[in-house]
Amino acid sequence: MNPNNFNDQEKPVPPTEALDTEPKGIEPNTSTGQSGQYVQPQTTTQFSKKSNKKLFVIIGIIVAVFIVALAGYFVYSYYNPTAKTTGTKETSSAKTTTINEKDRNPTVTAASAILTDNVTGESVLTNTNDTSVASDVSSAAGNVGDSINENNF
Amino acid sequence: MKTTSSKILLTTIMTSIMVLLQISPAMAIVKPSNADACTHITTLQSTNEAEMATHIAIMQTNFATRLAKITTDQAAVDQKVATARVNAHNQFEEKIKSMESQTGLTDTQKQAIETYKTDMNQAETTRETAIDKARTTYRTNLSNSALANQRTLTNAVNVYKTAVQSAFATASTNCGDGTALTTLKASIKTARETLTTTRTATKTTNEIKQYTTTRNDAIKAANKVFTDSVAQYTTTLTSALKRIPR
Repeated sequence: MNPNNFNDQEKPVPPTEALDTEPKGIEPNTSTGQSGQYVQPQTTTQFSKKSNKKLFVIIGIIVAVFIVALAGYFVYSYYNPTAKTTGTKETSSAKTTTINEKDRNPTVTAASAILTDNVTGESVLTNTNDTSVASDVSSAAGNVGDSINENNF
Repeated sequence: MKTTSSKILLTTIMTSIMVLLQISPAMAIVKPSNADACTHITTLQSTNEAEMATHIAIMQTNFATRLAKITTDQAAVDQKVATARVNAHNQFEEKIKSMESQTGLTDTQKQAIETYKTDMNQAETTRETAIDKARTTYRTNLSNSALANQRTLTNAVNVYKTAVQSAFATASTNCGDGTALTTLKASIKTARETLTTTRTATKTTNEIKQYTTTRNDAIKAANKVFTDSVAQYTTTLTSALKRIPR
């Protein structure tokens, strides 16, 4: 290919990567020298190439941060059933108050023990033995029979 | 003529002697035991029938006392049980308030405490109802058994009393008979043995024991259901309170 041959249908071909990155709708500002020698096209593509790289990096960072945050949220939700199952909005005071778990469960146990202990006490009270009702009256009747001793007649 | 008069005189004298012999103390020696036996039997009758009447009265007092004691004992138990239940309920309510007053509870945890309280009270009510029913049934059975037993014993004692009175009456009538006292003793012994047999056969100790076992089993079952429920409610609330906001 002879670059001085104007009749030659073959035209200088810019580097492939430059064309590939050429934004649509932007007419490349191509020109040729008077000598007809090909001049590297002076387009905005070179500036956009650098900006796009930066943009891609920023977007990548944002996406990465978002993914990490999302993963963190899932992990948090998994290990925090209350928030997951009830969705209850906690008051700010609740969030800031330090709760001593050990103070609560003994209270529950103690509350339950009050009623279960009463079961034992009540069983003692109600477990009466009334067989003496029968033995006493039987003895009283027996005494009537023993009131007369014919051997003393 | 003289001979005839002598014979009449001799006959008169002999007759007089015979009459005198019949009514004289010396003649009484012929049947001394009959008179003493009649007097003895009469004395025995009055003394022993009085003694028997005294013991019958004591028995009737004992019967009434036993029935009254059942009522008194049950009232005392009822009072103690009622007091224990009220005290337990009040203490439980205090614990609930203590739990509810804790800081940092979420709405969910507050609701869990309320649910626990409701469930526990319901379980307690169910338990008390079941136990009261078992106790009432026991008491009804005990009262019926005691009354029936006392009626049976009263009838048996009346049979004994009638037999004794009949035996003394017969002995008094036959007090001149040498066997009257022996017959009296045998009759009284038989009457007493009959009473003993009836007493033994109608003793309701085992019957009352069975009522007691039935009552206690029902109470144990109700208490088991209650304690199982309490364990479940306690675990549920404990789990709810473990979800502590940070």
